[in-house]
Amino acid sequence: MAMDRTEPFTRADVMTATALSAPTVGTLTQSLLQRGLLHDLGAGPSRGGRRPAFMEFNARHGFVAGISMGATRTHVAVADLRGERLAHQVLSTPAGIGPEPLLDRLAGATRSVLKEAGVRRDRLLAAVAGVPGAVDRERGIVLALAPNLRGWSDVPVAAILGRALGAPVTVENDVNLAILAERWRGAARGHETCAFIHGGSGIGAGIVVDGHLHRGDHSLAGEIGLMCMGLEHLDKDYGAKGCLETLAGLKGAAGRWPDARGGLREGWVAALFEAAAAGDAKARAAIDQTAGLLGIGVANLTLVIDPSLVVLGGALFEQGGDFVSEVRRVVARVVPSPPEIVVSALGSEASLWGCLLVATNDARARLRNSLGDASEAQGRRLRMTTGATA
Amino acid sequence: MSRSFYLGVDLGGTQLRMAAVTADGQLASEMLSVPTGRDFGPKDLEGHLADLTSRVRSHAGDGVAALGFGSAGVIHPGPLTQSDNLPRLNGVDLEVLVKRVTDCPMRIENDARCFALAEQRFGAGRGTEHLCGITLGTGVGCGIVIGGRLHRGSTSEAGEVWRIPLRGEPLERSVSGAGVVKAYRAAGGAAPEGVDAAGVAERAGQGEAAAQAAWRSFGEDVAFLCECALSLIDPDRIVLGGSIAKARQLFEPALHGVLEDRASRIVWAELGPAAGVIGAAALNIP
Repeated sequence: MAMDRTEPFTRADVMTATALSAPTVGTLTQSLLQRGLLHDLGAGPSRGGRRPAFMEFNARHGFVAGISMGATRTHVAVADLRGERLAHQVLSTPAGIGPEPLLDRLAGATRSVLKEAGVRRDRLLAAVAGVPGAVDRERGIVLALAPNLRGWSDVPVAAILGRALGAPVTVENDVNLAILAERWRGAARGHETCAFIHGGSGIGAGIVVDGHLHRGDHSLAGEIGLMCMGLEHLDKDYGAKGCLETLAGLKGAAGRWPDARGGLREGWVAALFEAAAAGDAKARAAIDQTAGLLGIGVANLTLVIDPSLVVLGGALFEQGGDFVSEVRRVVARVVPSPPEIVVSALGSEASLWGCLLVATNDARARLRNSLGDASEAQGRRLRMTTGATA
Repeated sequence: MSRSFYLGVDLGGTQLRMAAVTADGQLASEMLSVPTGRDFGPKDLEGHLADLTSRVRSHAGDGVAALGFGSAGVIHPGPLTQSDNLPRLNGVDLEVLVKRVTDCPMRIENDARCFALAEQRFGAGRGTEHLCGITLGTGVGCGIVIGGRLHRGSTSEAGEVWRIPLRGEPLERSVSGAGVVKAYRAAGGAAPEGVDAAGVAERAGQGEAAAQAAWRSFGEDVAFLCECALSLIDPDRIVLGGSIAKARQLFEPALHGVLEDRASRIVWAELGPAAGVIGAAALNIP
């Protein structure tokens, strides 16, 4: 879409970009101005000859919503067609209720954010739901969710939310969304082959290969929570005890620190890191062992995929420098020339930004399709009247 | 009027192989081979390559379109590095050498990637979009096809799985011919100097418990590698090949035991010893 650009432009710019004729561009821009997709900015200074008419893409012609579901918190935001965020709410992910009532509440929260942004519901063109689990994106179905949200299997999230919001909904894995967001406006800008590793109660990776999200054959690529960490961890209970998520997820880390065993209260992760900083040897060992295991996970990903950058996000990595340094140290022991390893620039909002990015792409694609139909009809009429060939 | 052939060369830790290949992945000449080994150097390569090229051309005629070269080691533009099984070729610019000897347009790629490409296009992985090919032999190699194309990674080091840590050391110490012998000794087997994986296979076939235990352990370690590839790539199939895959019946039960329901995604190479040559040729087949 030659007119979908940030800076103002003239009809001549569009002709240069598309190689369309002056009458075609004239008719098209007129129709887009009428429909509100373009703003008329009036005439600019003359460059010798008639003063050119400037116009710009109207990013507020329509709006999108992002719903990023986390195990404990859910972010909901509304943005314009360029992904500029207009309103944002964070709510506790409702616990202990089934998928349908939960999605119903999230739809309610989305309507409230739309209201806060002053957006009429019929201007919502697309929404994206990010979930911590495996999704079938084509069918909009959540196959299974992270441990904290058990009871979800084969839930048609796109259909349920789509009905409630009156707009098409796409469902995507949260870590996949995080790497897309980091490439868009975070730490991974300019990286063609890169990965995001989330380390929290669940562990997963979003992988981009040559500029494209790699989902795999069953949408399970990057499910490194299931990565086997060595046969010595397995004994007879393969998968349930020896995989990366059970060993290096928050529960695994808590299991190594006696003071955490009273129950995983809010703030215990920060307390663990404070204890280590204050000289608690057991806390230090718990952190280093967990970081070491995550380091092996990063190293294994690096050896298989060879990314130029790995972005780390989630509760453990957000605790800062020492933890990430330990991860880097372990990776460097395994991989001779390790990739750049950085902490997420978008933090707990990485997946939400990914939702907004994918939603703006969805909305623009739909706009383009609807315009494509209209302009094709116009083109046919033009060719009939002028005898021109396409 | 002449048909086009694609030369494929496969330089491995034990053999240098070469053949002409048709555009649909069939051998168009006899597959020629000479032994290599730790003493195999650039002069050996030049001599054999010149000889093999002229012999293959005499089989296949003049319609040679291009040459594809698969080699162990990490393939960057410039000199070869990290060729642990052919150490004397480290520092040799294979592209320059091959062009000088054969006077043919050529492409060069890691041998495990050639194996994966061959099986994906013409073998056990036909019709798959995402595939991992793992070669089990002197060392362990891994080629990855994503979206129907070879995945090289940002520094051409994708698939260097031999370094993956297992029991505190690189996985290749276990998943290799030497690894089988080591496991045999660890299980109490009497392994005099010179016993190799084939020897351990023979003893396992004769019912020796330590040899059978060694192959079980090997199967579990291969499963560990498969688990890693499955969790990262989620390929449609993992194709296992290489010289040690011949001992399949000795380690397949242990492999399946670990992988459980995911074992159905593990298949065995169909192209045999020709896979490397066909895959190298396939680098140029449109």
